[in-house]
Amino acid sequence: MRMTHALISIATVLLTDPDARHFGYDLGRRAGVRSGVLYPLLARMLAEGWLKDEWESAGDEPLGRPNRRYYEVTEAGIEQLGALLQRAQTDARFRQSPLATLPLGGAR
Amino acid sequence: MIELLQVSASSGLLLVLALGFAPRLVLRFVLLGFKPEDPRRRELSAELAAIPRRDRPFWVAEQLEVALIEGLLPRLVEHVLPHRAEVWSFGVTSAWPPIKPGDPMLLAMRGAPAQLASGRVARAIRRCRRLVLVDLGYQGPSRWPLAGVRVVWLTGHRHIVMTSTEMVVLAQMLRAGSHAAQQKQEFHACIELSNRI
Repeated sequence: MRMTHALISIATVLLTDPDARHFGYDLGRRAGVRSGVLYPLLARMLAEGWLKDEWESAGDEPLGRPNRRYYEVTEAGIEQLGALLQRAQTDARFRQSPLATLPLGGAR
Repeated sequence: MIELLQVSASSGLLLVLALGFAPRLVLRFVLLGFKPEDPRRRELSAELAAIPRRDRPFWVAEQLEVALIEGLLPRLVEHVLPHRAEVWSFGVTSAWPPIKPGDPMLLAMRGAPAQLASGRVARAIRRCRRLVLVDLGYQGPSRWPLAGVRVVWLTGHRHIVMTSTEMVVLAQMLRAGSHAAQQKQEFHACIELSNRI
């Protein structure tokens, strides 16, 4: 997958808490990526096997809104995204990005 | 002319009003761009509830862009090339028109999969004037790295869609093979084309 600022931003958010479940809108807001870019990127990451998706289940309590789709990083995703962030740190194009607090290596 | 301006201004105003006051309704129309089984239909519809009201019109407008490029465009292509998505094992991922057992191109591919870039298969594809999407994941006899090579041949117009790794692999295949000079030039031209895309 091509290394872009959007991908790096999403990877940063995903690896900040690799165990968390992420919803599209929330992920885009935290990464600062507009939704027109976010959803196609998420679809590609799913296709690569870096993410897995599931639908929110209401359980016993009704949610009062439609069930949302959430994304979780897979083991392969942690590896690949970690490697991507490491590459980004040495790439001149991403020097200006706020990558100082990159969760490199994707340790769980 | 003034009438035309009035119509376009009123339709623009209508759009602004619709996006502002009925974003869910507009979103439903926008989502029709995706296939019925596409999970994004349900996902985006559910996401709208989480978006602050003031951001909804912009968010819906952005989905229009996504639905056009990622939803409608592939559907149109599929409509024009209805069998493109057929899945084939042994190397050929998809082909249009569909390849039948015993097809000369398939036999060539089976007989010499490691020589995909060789004149034999390339000529067979060209002769059949087909759109072929090839996806190989094997190690060639000359120890080429494991990689997928996706080659899209469209009637008369050749496009090679590859990642950088795949381009290296194809370049290695070209160097390793004993191809006609003209064919080498064609492949290099395609690689240059794909570099520009």
